[in-house]
Amino acid sequence: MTRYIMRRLLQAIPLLVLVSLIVFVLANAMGDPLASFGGRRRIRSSDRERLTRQLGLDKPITVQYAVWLIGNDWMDIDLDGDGIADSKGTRQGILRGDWGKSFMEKRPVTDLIRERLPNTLLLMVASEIVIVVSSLVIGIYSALKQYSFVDHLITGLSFVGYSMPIFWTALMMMYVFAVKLKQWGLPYFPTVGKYDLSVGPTLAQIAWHMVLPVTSISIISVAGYTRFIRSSMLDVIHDDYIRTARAKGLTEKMVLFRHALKNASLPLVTIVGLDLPLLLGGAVVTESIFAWPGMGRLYWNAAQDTDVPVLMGILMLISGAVVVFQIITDITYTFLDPRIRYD
Amino acid sequence: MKSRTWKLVVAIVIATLLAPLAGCATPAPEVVEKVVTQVIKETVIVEGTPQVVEKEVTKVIEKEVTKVVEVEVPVEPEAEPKVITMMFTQEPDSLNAIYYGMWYAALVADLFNPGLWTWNDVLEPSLEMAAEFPTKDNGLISEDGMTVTIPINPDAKWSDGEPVTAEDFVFTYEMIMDPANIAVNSTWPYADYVENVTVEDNSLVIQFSDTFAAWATTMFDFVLPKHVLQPVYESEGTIDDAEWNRDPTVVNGAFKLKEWEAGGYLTLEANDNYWRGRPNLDQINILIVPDSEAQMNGIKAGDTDIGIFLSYSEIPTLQALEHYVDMQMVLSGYNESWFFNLNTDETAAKNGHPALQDVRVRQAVAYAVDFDAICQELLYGETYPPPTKWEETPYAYPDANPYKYDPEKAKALLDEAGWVDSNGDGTRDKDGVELVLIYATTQGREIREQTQVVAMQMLAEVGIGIEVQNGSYDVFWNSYGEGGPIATGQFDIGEWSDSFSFPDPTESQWLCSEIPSDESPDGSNWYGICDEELDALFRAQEVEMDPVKRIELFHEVSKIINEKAYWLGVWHDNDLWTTSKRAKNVRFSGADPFWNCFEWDVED
Repeated sequence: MTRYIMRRLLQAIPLLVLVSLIVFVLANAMGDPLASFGGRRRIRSSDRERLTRQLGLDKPITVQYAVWLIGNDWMDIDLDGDGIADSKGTRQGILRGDWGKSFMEKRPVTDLIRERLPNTLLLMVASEIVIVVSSLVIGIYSALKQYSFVDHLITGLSFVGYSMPIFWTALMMMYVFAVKLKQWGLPYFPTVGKYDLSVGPTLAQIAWHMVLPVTSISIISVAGYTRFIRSSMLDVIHDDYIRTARAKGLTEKMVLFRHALKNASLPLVTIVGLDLPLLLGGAVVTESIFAWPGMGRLYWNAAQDTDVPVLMGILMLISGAVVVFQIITDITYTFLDPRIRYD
Repeated sequence: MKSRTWKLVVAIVIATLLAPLAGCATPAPEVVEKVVTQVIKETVIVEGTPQVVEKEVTKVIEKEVTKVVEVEVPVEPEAEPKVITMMFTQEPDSLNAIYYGMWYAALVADLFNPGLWTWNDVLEPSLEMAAEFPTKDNGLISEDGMTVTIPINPDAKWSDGEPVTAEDFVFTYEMIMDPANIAVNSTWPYADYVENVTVEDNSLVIQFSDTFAAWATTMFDFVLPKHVLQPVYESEGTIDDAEWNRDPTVVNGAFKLKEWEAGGYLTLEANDNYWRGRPNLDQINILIVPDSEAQMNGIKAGDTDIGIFLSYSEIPTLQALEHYVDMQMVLSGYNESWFFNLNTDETAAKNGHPALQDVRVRQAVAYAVDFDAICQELLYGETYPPPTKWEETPYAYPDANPYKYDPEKAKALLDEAGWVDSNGDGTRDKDGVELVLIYATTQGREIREQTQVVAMQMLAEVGIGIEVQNGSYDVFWNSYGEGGPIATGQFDIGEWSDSFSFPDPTESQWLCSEIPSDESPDGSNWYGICDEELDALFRAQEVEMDPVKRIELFHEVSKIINEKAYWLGVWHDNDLWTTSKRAKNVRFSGADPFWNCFEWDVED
């Protein structure tokens, strides 16, 4: 197993380098990073020329990529614009742990990510728990009551939930549970932020502010996951080994959870394994609508401003997480299905 | 759990009932004792002699003694903190003015980091760190206009009690100019006009390399605390990574930063050491919201006291909320404008439609579109088409021709210029070239897209065809080098709103040298206008220190632009703000919107 993990990690290195190259080229093609520098005013031509030079944007894209990768502290650069490269660069490159600085905020990308990641994880982990638990309960129930009225109802609602775009769900939730409830004089949910500033960041406040965004994120995923689990459960509950388990005199609960669910959860593990890395990227739409201060909004703002170092930081973080979670998923298979071996 | 909750509720109810009873307690009586006999030593002069003797005299002295009797006094309820809340649709990029470029960051800086002076709601200087505003009359501007001396306010202090000195301003200048501070947002005008900045008796002395008329509105509108940032600079060789940039704990404004949660909010609290004294408010909350829709929801719900940079399309909604909010239209130097592409590039790659080189065609476009109707119908009559780009300021030429809607005159001008519909397709043409103009603006701003529809119909009536080619905001403004559609001349009529150094009128975009090209890809004259007379006037105004003469120069500028129809005003684009009824004394300025934050108050 250790050899397998090492092999996978080594295989990931060229993959990540390739991904970073593609992402770097695409991010740079998004627009002019200096277009947002003037605020409401247009940036002056002399400032544009200086900033282009100081940020290294006057260099060919291959050189910019090399600087992002290995830094520029080994080369002389022209900081003062006199045409003579007489200052050493200060960048160390991502290979030495320097993720670069945000063009807009002029701060290390790692600082920006460190500020936002906990908020995103809070929202996304809560959502993932809601999604997995709800879909397991609903999916199993639906499978056990196949073709019943409840099964048909769940199937119908799943299609409705799956068909609704998340921005629409989020806006409707906000409209009904915040705006309308407030208009009717009833207790209502907050619409923006992580907590009420007049109360402070208490556990209750944060939980209260998470209700609408978590629900918005969960609806579409629960709808999809439920269908997977129902289908997987239906596949296994008619298998011979389940009949054997029942014949052995095991209780229905034991049969269901120890034998059926364990085998039926393999597809679910695959999907969750693919979903988990994306948790780090946050939910762009939901975070934007509910003004949740997470990675999704950071990414969206960076994309709007063509803030390449921030975009690269977030996308590489997700890419790295995909690799790691895929390995974890593979390892999880071996626990769920003893027939799977990597050695 | 339930029983615990009930106990809590009962306890709160009892406490609430008992609180007024405590207030009914008898007030503490003041007991006054009056008569006390006291033996004192007194120096007396023996009558008839110069002898001075000391003798003991018994005197009855009336003395009032107030005894405080301990009684139960009701506890005064703690006053509610005075808080104003506002919503920003963009998060500040930094709080160090040498680095930030965002307008929202400058708004926050108004609250905590004023410079020499701010510009008030009638665009006059309101002194902050300066003790006096320099003029030639008070002798603080030298006769040749090359030296300006600014005495520093002796009462000005940083929030940690250290005085604000001229040294702080010199340090600020040095930090702006030092290339070790990478990505300083703008070195203009310091790099272009300042010879050096020195200190003389706690006065700041600016020595210019050339006379520079716009100095008062473009320099030292913030100051850095030298005693905080110099140690950082000395140890790191730069202040790029100084903690102060994001967490300015030592400030000189009415408020100081209390907390900033990235992506969430900023809170600022009153600065007790502000030179005018503690401001009326205790705290200002700034919530970061995703868009203007969220801000509007906040205004409707009463969750925000100040509505910022609102769209004119919200006016009917805001009028319906007149019992809760007040609207303020604030002059900020912006005008929604039409610019023509007049490039005459040798390679023709960025040239506009050839018809636009003829002033009669540009004038015909101006007469063909009813800009008044656009303002009335689409902007609810809250604004009007400005005849000059310097509208509502002394620099606007008072006799500028506003090009009133006259389609017949437009047709006559086009006929005269030789543009006629020779092939009967409804669009005029000349020498086989159809008069179809590319009309470009930014995507996603509804009012601009509505204006395009109306203008297209009106131009079609006089035989001018329109092809709309809009671009997304992040691409539209790209530079010539980045292939930006406007900078590379991919338009005939471009619509947007801009302002350069408001309240100063100076603009560089009309200079021939600013036309972008492969050799000079950063130029800002995207319209390709190279009018020698205009160029000379713009260069002259930049160095004219006599305000009266400068106004005359701008009148000439306005007149030429107006007569030659180089530019057309679509609507005068003042900023729309709102304040809730509970917010008091909030007076916005178009230059420094929160200039009087020290006077703000709330009344519930």
